Amino acid sequence: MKKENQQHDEDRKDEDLVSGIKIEHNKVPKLLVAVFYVVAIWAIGYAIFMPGKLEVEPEAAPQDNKGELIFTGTCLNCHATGAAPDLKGVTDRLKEEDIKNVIKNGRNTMPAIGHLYTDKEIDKVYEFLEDYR
Amino acid sequence: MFTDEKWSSSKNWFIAAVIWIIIGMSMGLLTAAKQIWPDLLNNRWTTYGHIRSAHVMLVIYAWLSMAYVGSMFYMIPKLAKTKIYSEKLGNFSLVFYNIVILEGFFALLDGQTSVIEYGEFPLWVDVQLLIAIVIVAYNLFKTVGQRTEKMLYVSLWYFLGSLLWLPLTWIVGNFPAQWIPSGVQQGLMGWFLGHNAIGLWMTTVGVGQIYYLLPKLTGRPLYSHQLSMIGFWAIATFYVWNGPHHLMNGPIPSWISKAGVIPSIVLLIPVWAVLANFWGTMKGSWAQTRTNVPLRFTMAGTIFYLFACLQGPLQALPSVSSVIKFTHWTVGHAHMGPFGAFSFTSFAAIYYILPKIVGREMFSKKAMEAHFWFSTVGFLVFAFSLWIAGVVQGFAWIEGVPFLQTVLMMEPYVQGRAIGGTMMYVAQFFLAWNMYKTIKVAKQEKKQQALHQAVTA
Ligand code: HEC
Repeated sequence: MKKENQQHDEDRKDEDLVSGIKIEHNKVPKLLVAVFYVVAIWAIGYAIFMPGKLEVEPEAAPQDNKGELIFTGTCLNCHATGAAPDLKGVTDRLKEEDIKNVIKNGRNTMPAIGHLYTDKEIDKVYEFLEDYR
Repeated sequence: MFTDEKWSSSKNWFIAAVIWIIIGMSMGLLTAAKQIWPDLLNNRWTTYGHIRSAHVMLVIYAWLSMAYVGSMFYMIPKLAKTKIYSEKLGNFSLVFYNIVILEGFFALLDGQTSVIEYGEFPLWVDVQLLIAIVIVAYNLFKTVGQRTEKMLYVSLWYFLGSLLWLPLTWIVGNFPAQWIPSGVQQGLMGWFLGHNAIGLWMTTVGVGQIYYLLPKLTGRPLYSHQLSMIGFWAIATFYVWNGPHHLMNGPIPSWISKAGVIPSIVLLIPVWAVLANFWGTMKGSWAQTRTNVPLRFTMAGTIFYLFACLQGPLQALPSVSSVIKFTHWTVGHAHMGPFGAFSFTSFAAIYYILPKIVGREMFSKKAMEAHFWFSTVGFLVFAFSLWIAGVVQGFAWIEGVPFLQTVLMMEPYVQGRAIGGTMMYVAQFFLAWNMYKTIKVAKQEKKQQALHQAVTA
């Protein structure tokens, strides 16, 4: 229901009255129009030029630090927090066979995690432990 | 059996909503407490996973949705200049809806879940909730059908849109996602519901509430019809595509990824249009927020809405997502819309509507003030703890700090969150008590009046 604005006010545009609520017809602020255009242009540009995902660089060298990776990625989650013994210099304390056995089959509260790794990887972890002190 | 007293359904939905905000937020507080004391209440029913999903489902589908339906049962007939199609059906749907929510609540505590975030209820509950929603929508559409006002005010577009969109997203998100076996597709379907429950229900009903409340509370005309149009149609067009940004950098095809990022950023258009409209309407009325608590709640809500919608699009970018994904940050963000923005507007709606229904103003202004300040300050403490935590956590993970160590680093922030959360929780008791008192005193006053009239007659 359009209703002519009774008090003639120069600045004010005609108002509608809907359900007892007045609605003005002010223009969209210029700044907002500018934002709309920027967003629209960005959107088209993004659609055409961007990959849409983070590009992951392939590992540079073959992983000769595999032992360290496994150690920091898995073992330290327990062995650096007080939840499990410190492994610094563990190769002096335990025999190679025993250490590999702990990794493969677990011991008391340490779970068996051998199935996660190949024998070669476990060798690498052992090699890393030899230098870890 | 069900009363058809005028406005009774609106009032009853509000009462139920407020009971649920207390239950739902106590689940949230327990979740927060469990992050400090992991063994707290560790039994078959209340393990962390059960409680967390119960919290999310209850605050969204019990508290917020019921508060929304309560507002719509008042605002829609008012805007349509008619009465509600059926108060009886409104009250029936309330009872039914609450039974379904209770079922869902116990199903979750029992460990039954469909593992879809924002859609955790198991299938047998989903079906019933859909029926309840459809009954509510039917009642409200019928109300608009019998309107005596020719034009539809902008709030009505939002309400009617939302009442269509909610059942649609509920169907798409809940049903096929439980039948599709494999991971990625399931994830995408699930997030269709997850993000549209936010965008095409929580946001749109909330914005509709504000469009109604602002001119009423300030007595000023709505700023711009054109901005209302832009805001409504842009959100209706672009929102549905926001789901994929939850799987950013995940194993989804990159075109889907892009199709999720772009609409997320384009959402700046409807959000800013709507906010420009609100703040244009407010011009010259800001001083009123000092004394007018419902108006202050509404405006604080719009400000939180702005911030949520500045974070949201940025978070959708793959680079930003790679830092904050899976961290505490997301939790802080996820509370800003549903709590900071739209619980606030629902509080305002309750404070505006309830006095109109019971015929007396809110019992205690002090309690309203306390409700506002505890909610706001509590939320800020809560949210900033989580945001700082999230950034620290995200970069620590990138640095390769051992995971358990990063968990230990979170201790102070998790405690800060619990403190903020406690304040948010306490705030709601001011609301509940105030509502209870208002309704009770109004009843007494009516009785006395009747007595008085009988005596003098
Ligand atoms: C889930 C936590 C956890 C993880 C992961 C873990 N460990 Fe353990 N580890 C333990 C616990 C606990 C013990 C102590 C067991 C005991 O009390 O007998 C232990 C003991 C050991 C021991 C014996 C130490 C000693 O002084 O006797 C070695 C060696 C060891 N772990 C190596 C490793 C290696 C290598 C890895 C990674 C491939 C690893 N652990 C991963 C928890 C873990």
